[in-house]
Amino acid sequence: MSNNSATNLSDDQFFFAYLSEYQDGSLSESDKARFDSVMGTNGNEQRLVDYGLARGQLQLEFQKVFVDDELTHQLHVLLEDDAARANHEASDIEEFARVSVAARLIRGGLIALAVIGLGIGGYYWLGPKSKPKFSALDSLVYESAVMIEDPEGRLDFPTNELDELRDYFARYPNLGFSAKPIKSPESDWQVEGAAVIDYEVQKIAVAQFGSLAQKDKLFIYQFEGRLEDFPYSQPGNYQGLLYQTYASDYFNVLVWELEDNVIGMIVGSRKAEELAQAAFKAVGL
Amino acid sequence: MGASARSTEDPGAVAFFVSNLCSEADLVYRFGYTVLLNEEQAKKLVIATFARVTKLINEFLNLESQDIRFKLLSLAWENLLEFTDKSNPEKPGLVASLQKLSEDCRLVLVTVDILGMSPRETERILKMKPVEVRRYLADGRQQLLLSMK
Repeated sequence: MSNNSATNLSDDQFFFAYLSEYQDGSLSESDKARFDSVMGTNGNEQRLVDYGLARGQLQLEFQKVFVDDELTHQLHVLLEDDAARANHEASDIEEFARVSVAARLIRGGLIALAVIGLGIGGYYWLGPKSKPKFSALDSLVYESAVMIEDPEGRLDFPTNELDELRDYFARYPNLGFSAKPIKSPESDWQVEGAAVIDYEVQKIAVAQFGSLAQKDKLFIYQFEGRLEDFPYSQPGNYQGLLYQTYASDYFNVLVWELEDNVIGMIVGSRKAEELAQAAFKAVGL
Repeated sequence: MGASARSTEDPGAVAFFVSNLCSEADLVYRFGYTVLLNEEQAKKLVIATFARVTKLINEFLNLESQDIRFKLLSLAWENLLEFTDKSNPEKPGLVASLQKLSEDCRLVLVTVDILGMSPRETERILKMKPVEVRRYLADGRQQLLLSMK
């Protein structure tokens, strides 16, 4: 049954109003049938692609709109002025000093024994299992759009040689994980270069590939993380490569576990099956 | 629309406010800028919104991230309705594409496609009917596409 909002829209309005739901696969049967029927008209297939780019460009423009340090400070002092915060910090320091002296005098030997026992079990149960401190799906889809907009400007290390790309990641200081060597994804992909995206809490290695024939790009990301950090998605299997698939307006995204605590992510505009094949050939199991 | 600081004896509330709520200030700023197209006015909106938040912290404490964003934008929209002067858009402005869209279209388009609210959440934030949101979203996307060609 179609929803009332959709009923009151022209075909053109309906197309633009529901294109995200269409791509997510969340339309009702009747709405999907209507969308399928309008997709073949007015050049809508191309408009779908063009809108993804336009939205990416708007997202880029909005990166210029952000709260600066001065405004951030004005917000913080809404709740606690500078003097009160200084007092809090000073009293915390004083309290810590008092407690640490007493602890040393009373608990030294007992603590040592307790820590050895608790540390092993505590690390297993309570220790950091992953660093889900950034949304890989949001951030890296955005990064992919930015890299398409500025294919040379965003690459730290432009190269057409896979050997050099592998060497670049192997030698990169303090990456935080071991990047798996990347081979050719084959098909019509040519390596274009590498970059390491440095967020405050995470570094991500990215290899960029391009296709002259189809004029599109492919990005292979590697970073610390676990599959549990990602929302549930129907799993796929390409010759033993177990992956999860996601879609944005313009990209398909595959995510899989490269090794313990290291995630591989491939982002491109081709079908999921093609991306899985590229991932398998480039990074393997 | 002034905002005054007040000290609190609850360090937990302060920590929550700073790390969980103030970290979403960009969201409110972008929302305000979308309507006002003026940086200074958008900053005033952010301060006014978070000043209200300081009085409502308990309502935010157990919310998930998306619900926090929803509530912040709802408060921001209520504040925006009280803004008497929306007549000073900057030109060309930080986001040139917005200038070419009508106010309702850019508001719904940005709320859904940039700020990550669902159409249903957008209906509730902006107090619009479902068909209105869809129509403005459709028209906004179409206008954006045309403006970028």
